[in-house]
Amino acid sequence: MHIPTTAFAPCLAVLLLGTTSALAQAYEADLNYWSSYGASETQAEVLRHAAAAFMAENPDVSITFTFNGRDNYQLLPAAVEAGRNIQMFDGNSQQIVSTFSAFTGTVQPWIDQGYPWTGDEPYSEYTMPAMMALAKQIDTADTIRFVPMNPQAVMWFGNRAIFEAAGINTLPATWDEFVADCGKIRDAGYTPITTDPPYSAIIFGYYLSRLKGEAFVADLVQGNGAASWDDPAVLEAARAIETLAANGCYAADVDANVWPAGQQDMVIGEQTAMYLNGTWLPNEVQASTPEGFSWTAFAFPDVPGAVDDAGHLAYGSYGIAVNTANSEAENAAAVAFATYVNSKFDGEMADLAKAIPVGPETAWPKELADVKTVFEHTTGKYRPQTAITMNGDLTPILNGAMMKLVAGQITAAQFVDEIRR
Amino acid sequence: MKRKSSIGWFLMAPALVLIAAVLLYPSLRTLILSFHEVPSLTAPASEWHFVGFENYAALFSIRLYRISLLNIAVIWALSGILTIGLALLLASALTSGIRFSQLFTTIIYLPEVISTLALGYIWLLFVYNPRFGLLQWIGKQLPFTGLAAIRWTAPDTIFFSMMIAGTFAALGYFTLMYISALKKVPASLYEAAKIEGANSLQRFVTITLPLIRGETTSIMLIFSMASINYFAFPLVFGGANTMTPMLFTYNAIFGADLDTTGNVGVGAASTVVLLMVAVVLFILNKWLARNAKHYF
Repeated sequence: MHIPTTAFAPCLAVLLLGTTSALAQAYEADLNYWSSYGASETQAEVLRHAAAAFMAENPDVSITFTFNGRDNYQLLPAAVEAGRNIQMFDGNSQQIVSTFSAFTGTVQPWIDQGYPWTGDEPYSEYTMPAMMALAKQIDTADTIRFVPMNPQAVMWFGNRAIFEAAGINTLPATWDEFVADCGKIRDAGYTPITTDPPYSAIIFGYYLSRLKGEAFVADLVQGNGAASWDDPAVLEAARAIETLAANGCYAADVDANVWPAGQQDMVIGEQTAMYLNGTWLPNEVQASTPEGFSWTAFAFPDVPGAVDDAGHLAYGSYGIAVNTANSEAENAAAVAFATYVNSKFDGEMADLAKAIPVGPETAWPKELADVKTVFEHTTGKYRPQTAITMNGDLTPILNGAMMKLVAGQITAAQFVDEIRR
Repeated sequence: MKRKSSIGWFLMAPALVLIAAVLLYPSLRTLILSFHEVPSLTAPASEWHFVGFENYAALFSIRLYRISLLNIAVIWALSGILTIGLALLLASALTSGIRFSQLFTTIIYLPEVISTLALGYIWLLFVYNPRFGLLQWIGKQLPFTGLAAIRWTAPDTIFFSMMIAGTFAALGYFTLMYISALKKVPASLYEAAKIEGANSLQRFVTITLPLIRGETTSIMLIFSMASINYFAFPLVFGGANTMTPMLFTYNAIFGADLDTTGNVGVGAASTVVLLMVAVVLFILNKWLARNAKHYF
């Protein structure tokens, strides 16, 4: 039987169309990936699983990890500049566009194309729009320089059982409600709030950001512009925290907490109701969290006389980026893998690492159910952990003074004096 | 004679090349860096911007750096007295013929074989922990509440807690050095002093101390250099109250977590200051040891 060649035309057309996307693209590269996760962290486990699957699908690609943990931001720049063979890396998005900026290349051409794992949809349209917007917003370069991964936000995390035991059925939306709820929790026999030095000053940063806006806080800690520690708003924010301490909202010995004592105590002891921390908290303590522990979360409340409302959230994300020294083939493979992790393995990241998913169909981990509500009501952005942490030379001083303030050892005025000395 | 001299230079050449490569070159580069604004440690010289003494002015205007200088001065003085004093005391006890001296020496030296970072966490999490730490537990067994009431990791006490931990971590090394020195003091001198009626304290002051003065000055110098390099314990204990110049320098050069601004020049200036402090301490030590002799 003779079959006319024209009969193959539709099939041929489908095949040719397929090759214009990444659908049939063959990757060929040896990728050395330096990660900001520690080798024993759940995120690293997911990355390893994803790499194994990606390499099985792309036999000409090899991915070798170096898991440096959080020290990556200190190790990576010197290593890249010294000529180490590193094709891709991950890190806090803020670090990627600043600390890593000199050697971070664009990923735009490769995220604007479709992949089998995005249903052939361009990745930039497939992933969470807020994270793509963030990648554009925080970078002065006129391009996207990282594939967003593991969005993060700082908000109040709580033990739902304690809220219920204290008769609190609606989460606080204003500062007055927050203070009142602290009282109810204390009266029910629990410790309302815990903290430890690295997170202690964020409550002050959030309150002040609400009161005066983020630019004021950034100027204040960096000593730029007109923002001054003599501004009455600074004392007002400190007084709000002083009131919490005076009302017994913090444990009397909270000043002796050294990270991670506060967060471990919260889940192991189940006697502490709240902790202002990041969305990474349920993952960090999951090994010691008892079965049945139920997380709740809510935005930092509205404060009286504020310029920003509770819709302003301190958030950011991690990201996967590529080295400017890469070849085209390395970039194509590296970005393909980055999109692969954040689509095909997005669910595993959410399950194992309790991470906020970026894929449109991925279910949020149950621990972060209330976090999703906060995200849905977000109208504005603060820097991750608020602008109060922007000056590394000031942050340790602020943290130490704040631990004394929350323990009731110094007054708000003494706190401000201690900072501006 | 000329041939001998050239052979000498030939034999010394490998060492000189190594010293120039790993000591002289980095020191000179750091000194030059300290007068420039530099975006990163490995940035090419074309990206360096000469700023004169501005980095030094900026360095001393940073309160955290001034705090770190004060901290290291206290560590050098107080922890120095404590470490060297205790090491001498322990070495004297261990060389006095007590039973199980080998076992005690091993126990005292044990912290030396543990990573300093791990040691720091052991102290922080298991000794000082306010809920279930060893000191808390001991305090609760006592009939008075004083010890149990101490919050070892609170902002006002954590510096001294770190210093105590650091002292115990360093004790084994210096005790061993003193044991070695004390064992070389001839027993006949003590016997003669005994016959003359000298008591233990008199023998210690008039025989032991003068005869180990050379070793003591060496120990002081080693301790001083170790103080300047105080890094791991402050890294673990964290915070402004435990900041030291070495940790400050590290953060200034490699960046602090959420502070994405950085000028390596300031870190280089801090390194140069530390180098100058080390040189001053070395000269001071040589001066103190000017008449000391190593008798053995």
